[in-house]
Amino acid sequence: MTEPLLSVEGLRTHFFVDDGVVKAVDGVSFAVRRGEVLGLVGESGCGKTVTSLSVAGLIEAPGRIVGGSVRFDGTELVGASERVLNSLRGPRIAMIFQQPRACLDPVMSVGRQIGQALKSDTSMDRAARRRRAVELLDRVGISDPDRRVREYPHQLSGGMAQRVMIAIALAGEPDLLIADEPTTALDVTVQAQILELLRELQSANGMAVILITHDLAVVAEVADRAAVMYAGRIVEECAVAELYQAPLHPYTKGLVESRPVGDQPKSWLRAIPGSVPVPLDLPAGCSFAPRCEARTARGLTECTEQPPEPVSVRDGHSVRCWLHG
Amino acid sequence: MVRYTVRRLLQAVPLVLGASVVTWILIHAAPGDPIVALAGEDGDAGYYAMMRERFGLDRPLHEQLFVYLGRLAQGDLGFSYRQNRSAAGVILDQLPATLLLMVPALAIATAVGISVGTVAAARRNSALDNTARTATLLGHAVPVFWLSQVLLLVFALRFDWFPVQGRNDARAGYEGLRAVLDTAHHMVLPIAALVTVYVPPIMRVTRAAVIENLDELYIRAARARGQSRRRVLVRHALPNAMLPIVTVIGSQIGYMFAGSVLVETVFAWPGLGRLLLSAILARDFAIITAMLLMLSVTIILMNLVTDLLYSLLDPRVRHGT
Repeated sequence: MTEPLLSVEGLRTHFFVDDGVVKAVDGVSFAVRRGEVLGLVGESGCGKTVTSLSVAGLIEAPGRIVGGSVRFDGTELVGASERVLNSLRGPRIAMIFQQPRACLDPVMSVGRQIGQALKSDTSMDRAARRRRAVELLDRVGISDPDRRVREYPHQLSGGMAQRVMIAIALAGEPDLLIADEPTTALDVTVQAQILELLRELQSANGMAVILITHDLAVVAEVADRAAVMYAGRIVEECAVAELYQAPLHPYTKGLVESRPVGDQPKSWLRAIPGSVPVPLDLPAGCSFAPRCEARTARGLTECTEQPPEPVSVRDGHSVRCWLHG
Repeated sequence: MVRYTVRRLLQAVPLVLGASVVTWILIHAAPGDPIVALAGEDGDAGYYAMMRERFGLDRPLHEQLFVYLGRLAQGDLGFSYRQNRSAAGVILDQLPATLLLMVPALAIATAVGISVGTVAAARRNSALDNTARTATLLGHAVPVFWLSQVLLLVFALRFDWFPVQGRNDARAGYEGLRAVLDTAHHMVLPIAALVTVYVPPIMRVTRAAVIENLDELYIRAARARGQSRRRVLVRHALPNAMLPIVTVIGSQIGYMFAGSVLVETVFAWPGLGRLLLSAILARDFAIITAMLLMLSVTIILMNLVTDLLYSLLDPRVRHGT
């Protein structure tokens, strides 16, 4: 098998705040192959966004990558210079975010913001960038792009703003797109359109995508593989179909079971008992142990003493759980 | 935009009228008699009466006020008893000298305040940031008349680097370029004093506004498309921080006249500040009311200019959302 486009090994990103150290990402490993869509799933605060920002080298103080490695197409990004990172961000690694309107500079026209992403191509002059910006807006399905290119973010709806963000991301024809909750802040109908657009562009451009979401339905629709995060670690990684049919980790099972099921309209949704641990005070053993019903049912003692290591259960399916260790 | 400007200017009319009535009443309520100031104490009562009649000061106060307002409506700012000419003429004579200090001081203070504030915001809590913040606190706290005198004592008297007072060296009788350089030499210390007073508010507002904008999501998004820290600071954070910066500069201009009174007095600079002080001492009503009126008009105009700049700087204001 060829080397993956992106390979993250033992990534640890900690935030040094007044009250102590928040281990937002604490030993995350995953890989993304060219043209593959990886869904990174988990609840709010589990470290999905910090993982994606760490990959892009965008962690700001008081946060810091304290360990691990991020290799992108043969280049180590952890500890890379700002110059190297700036040259990769945009043309090679692009990002879109949860709140598209807040992610656009309110006092700069849409066209100029797209133009910024085209600046790395020095063969283009101002007029060429403007023409390309119009093409890109057209590509992401914005009507009347000649007019929109001159407009400002406040004149766009949330869905249009996300399309503009996608146009900016596509401008450099990146190898990897990191999409951090790209549809969460949008209306349901718009969500479906944006997902459809992402999927269509992904298959047309052949770019790899890390799709970060808390929404399992989104993963099912778009992703090839899924990685489930809990309290700063990936607890299970597998093909999307297996995630639904044969989830192994008790947390994944809980997530899958807590989805509403179409043919049972009146039934109560199942919930995972307890709540996410405070990141300043993580349990000594498995982070999920205090909420784990499987552990209490089986009476395992390792769970509260030592964190489990990831084990490969079968090809392409690994889990971090003492039940399978 | 034009309609908006016209509407704002019309709204300013009652404001200016009110301000002129209030200043007129305040000045006439204050103790002191212009005739005594003009003719000297213990003068001849008949001479006093003649003077009063000549300037219309023998008439009842409310009548004097209406005469003043009537003339004001015709653009007549009044007549200076002491200088025996129109107040507007006297003020216009002195205005260039004041602008010669204020305009460069404001330009330097704006450039320094915005650039230091921006760099301080980018390097929050660094040595540079802390130094800049301490310095602006001192600049804020030091009274400008005291600072002016210290500058005089140290740089003019002790080291003899700069002339002590005035706008040029009258005895040397320079011409052409030498005269320009001589004036510039005289300008250094008063401008330094004014810059010290002008910079702190501009720098502090810039720093706060840039810091606020650096935390915005569009900064991270711009970084994610390969913009360097520096470009993000200059192209995104600073333009978005301009509204409060423009506001503080606009609102400062009124106070700047007040600061220039003190600075001009210490440095014997022949500008509006000194004119106002001497007019107050001489109870030269016309000059005082005319200058205070000019000040209120300046403040009102600056507010308008600030608001017009808003729509230039921010498309959201332009489109009225």
